[in-house]
Amino acid sequence: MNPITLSMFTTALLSGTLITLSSTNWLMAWMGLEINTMAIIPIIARKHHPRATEAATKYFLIQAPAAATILFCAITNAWMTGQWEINQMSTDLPIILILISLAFKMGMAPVHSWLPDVLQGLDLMTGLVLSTWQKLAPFYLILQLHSTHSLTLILLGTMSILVGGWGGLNQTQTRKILAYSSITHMGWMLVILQFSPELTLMTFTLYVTMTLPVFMILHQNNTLSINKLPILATHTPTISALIPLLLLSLGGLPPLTGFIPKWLIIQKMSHLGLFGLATITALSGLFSLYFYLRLSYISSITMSPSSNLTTATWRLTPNSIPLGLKTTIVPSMMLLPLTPMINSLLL
Amino acid sequence: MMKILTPTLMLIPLTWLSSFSHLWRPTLSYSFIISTLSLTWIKNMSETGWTSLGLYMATDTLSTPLIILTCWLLPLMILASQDHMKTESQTRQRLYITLLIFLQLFLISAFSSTELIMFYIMFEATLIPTLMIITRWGNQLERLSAGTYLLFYTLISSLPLLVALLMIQTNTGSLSLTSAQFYFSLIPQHNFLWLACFLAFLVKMPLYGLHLWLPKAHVEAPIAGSMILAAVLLKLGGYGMTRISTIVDPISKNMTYPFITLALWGVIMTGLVCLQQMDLKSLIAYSSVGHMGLVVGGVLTQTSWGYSGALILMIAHGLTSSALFCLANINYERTHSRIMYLTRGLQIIFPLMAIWWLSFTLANLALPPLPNMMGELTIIVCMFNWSWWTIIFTGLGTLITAAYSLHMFTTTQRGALPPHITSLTPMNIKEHLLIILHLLPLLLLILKPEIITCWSS
Amino acid sequence: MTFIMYIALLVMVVGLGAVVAHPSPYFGSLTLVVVSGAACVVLIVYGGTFLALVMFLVYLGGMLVVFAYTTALAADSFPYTLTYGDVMLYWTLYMGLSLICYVKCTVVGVVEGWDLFENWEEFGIFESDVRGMALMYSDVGSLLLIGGWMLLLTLIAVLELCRGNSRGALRAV
Repeated sequence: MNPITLSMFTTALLSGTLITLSSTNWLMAWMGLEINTMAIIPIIARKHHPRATEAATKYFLIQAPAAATILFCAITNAWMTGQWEINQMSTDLPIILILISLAFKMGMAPVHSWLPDVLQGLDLMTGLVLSTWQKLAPFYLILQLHSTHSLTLILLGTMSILVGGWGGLNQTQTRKILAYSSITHMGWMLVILQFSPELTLMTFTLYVTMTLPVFMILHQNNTLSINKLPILATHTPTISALIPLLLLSLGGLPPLTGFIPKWLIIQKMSHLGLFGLATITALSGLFSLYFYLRLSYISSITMSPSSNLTTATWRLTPNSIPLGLKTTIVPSMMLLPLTPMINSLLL
Repeated sequence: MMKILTPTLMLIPLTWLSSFSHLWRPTLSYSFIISTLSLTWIKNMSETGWTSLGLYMATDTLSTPLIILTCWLLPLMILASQDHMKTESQTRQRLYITLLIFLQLFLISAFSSTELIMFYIMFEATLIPTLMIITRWGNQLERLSAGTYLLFYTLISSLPLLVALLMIQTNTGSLSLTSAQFYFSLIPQHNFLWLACFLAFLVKMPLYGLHLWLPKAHVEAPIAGSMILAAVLLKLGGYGMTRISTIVDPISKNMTYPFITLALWGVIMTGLVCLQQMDLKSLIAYSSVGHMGLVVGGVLTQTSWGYSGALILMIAHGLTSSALFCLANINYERTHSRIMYLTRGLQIIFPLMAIWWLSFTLANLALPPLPNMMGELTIIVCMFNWSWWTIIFTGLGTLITAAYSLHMFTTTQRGALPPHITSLTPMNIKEHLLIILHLLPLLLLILKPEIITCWSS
Repeated sequence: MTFIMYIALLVMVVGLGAVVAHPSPYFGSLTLVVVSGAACVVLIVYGGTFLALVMFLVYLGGMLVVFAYTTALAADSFPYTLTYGDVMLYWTLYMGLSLICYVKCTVVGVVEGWDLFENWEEFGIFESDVRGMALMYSDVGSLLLIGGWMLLLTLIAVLELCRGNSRGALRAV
């Protein structure tokens, strides 16, 4: 792609989210979402790979009706109540529809099926943008609607946790697994949203922190399927030792960063007396832990039978680790002792 | 507390920075020094029962023996796995030792934390190094499912514990163990709360019926994994139960019936499983389940005799079963088989080893002066006081324990030597040292058992 | 006026059902044109004369005609019509669904609140849509700027995707 065009699209990608983030009006928010969609589609299709084109088409077909529904609901809301403010929605019909279409845009459980397919067609860096930055704008809108309709939020959240865990179980492609992991984490965010939006924001931040190095590692070694994961051990041995910790951190095992959101979410629920919901969410998070565990088995804990090709790379000097990876990998594992600080920053 | 934790933490740079030829000896000697330092905690002068009280950590008569056991186990693990690791690459050897050090760090933090949520985090934190030791350095393909079992059994049972702890925190505003008597009355007494609090520890112990992960993990783990699993990790369950039972006390009276029954039934059942076991490591693992059943029974009766019997048995069993795993591993490293009928009659070629086998077999079946016997007897008396009928189970259990211990001994040591194992490398001095260092504390505890009886002075 | 409104709304609903039910782009675009015309009528009846004009000029006159023209060029010789079995089935299904929705809405009364803010027209000199347009050019010029930039972005995105000589992703030649 022409560098000027590319820079225009990336600028639009940034500013679209910023427009949504800085707007209090549904019309502007919708416009930001549309700019976002329009900007990412050529970036998705940049490689001209048939799967990339397919992903771009699917992404467009999904985002367009979702955005249209949002606009429709915003107009309906304006008609019924006379104002366009995002955080002053008061009628059920537009609220539920908007929540569902925002969940549609983010790829959450009952309307999630597009996300793994689209992510499968992308290269990993675009996938990273899609599963973090592209979710920011709809995430912000859903954050504004936190106290509106609790049943929808709870249903979306718990279903996402379950479906994300369940769906990832029999996947063999790392990108699809990461897509399901994203669905699960979004579920955790939505479950707690109505009780504490700050906690949702913190969960999102930590999710981005944790998923960033995983995408970067997989991108650096070009490991697109589970079969290719063992080459991590020969290409970057240090990373290979760390990636189980990273993955288990995504799964939320205690001494790692991933436990912070789970801990605080369960704590918040317990404070509100929702012990049943807390137990159910905590236990359904274990589904996704299973595939993280499987990934970490394959990537480094077991040794795969090595061919001549891999032994040859073993003798070469290992790939150096980029600085960005070094800086992101540490907070994605070791933030748990800083929980009080994170707490006081965000809550 | 930092006097032990900081040196333990500094073992990690030692492991990574010392040259490869000096990798094992310094780590071994420094970890021995650390375990010697930890012995100072035995002296408990404080009136409240808590000594070396820090901001979040303290030790008392319950946790001190377990912490010292943990510190004692690290050098022994390093000693035991040196041969096992000989073929591995440099980096992996260092990584292995690092994992063992992390395990000690987490375990000391778990045993000494005065805040229940920190105990929970450290309880779970021990999972990751254990998982890696088992699945990365185990021998068979089944180690993968063993690791999965370990992780998921523990997590499924312990997530309700987290919810329960946070529920207590919601109601009382505190989870501190040192001030438990002040907020004790505010805790809602509820059956589900009790169950959630105990289930995690009952799985970790493990209680019969929830024990399937343990034999798998033991059989598949490398020697250090088996040792730490048998010696300390199972004791986390007993320790946690003792701690939490003082908090959720009143409702326990009726709730414990099914669990005590299951535990006693488990003593007999695992004994019977042991009697027809072919696999040496699996036999020792099942015998652990049986002994832990007695500990569960002792703790759940919630009497001071029960607690002290449970602690004595935990310490004694920790040393005994760890030594038995070492002995099994010494056999395995020579014969490359765990099947007992393939490795018979070893007394003829390893006479000195037969003595070690005999002494630890006797320890396992609780021969009188040994602390194993003190623990078992205390628990049996305590159970008898709780209900007369338990004497049938405990008596029968002791009998079967003696039977399978002798079965293990005679099968591996006595009889004619099969022709295929005549040319084995003799035992070296390191292995003798390893076993002696297991036996020595066991013998010394005969002389001064009050340091492991959980009585505050 | 009410009669015209009802007819226009009916054409819209029936037409939208037909748009969704048709597998062939030829009839799909044709019915879309009809639906858009009916929508213009609805807008006029609601008082949005200027909006209706803009929609007629831009949407119908510009885009849809080109759309219909290109699909007509590309269409197969024997396209599926409404009388074809599957199409008919789906269409009837959609009609039934909208009937249920209509009955449901009138019974529950969701639609009743909708005419709440129409009465504001009496207070202004201009129609509300004209006022909205004027507002966009005077007070919130930045919105216009963003809107224009967005159109440019969309244009470039489409051009990027559909460039010839296999430089764009969507075209083989």
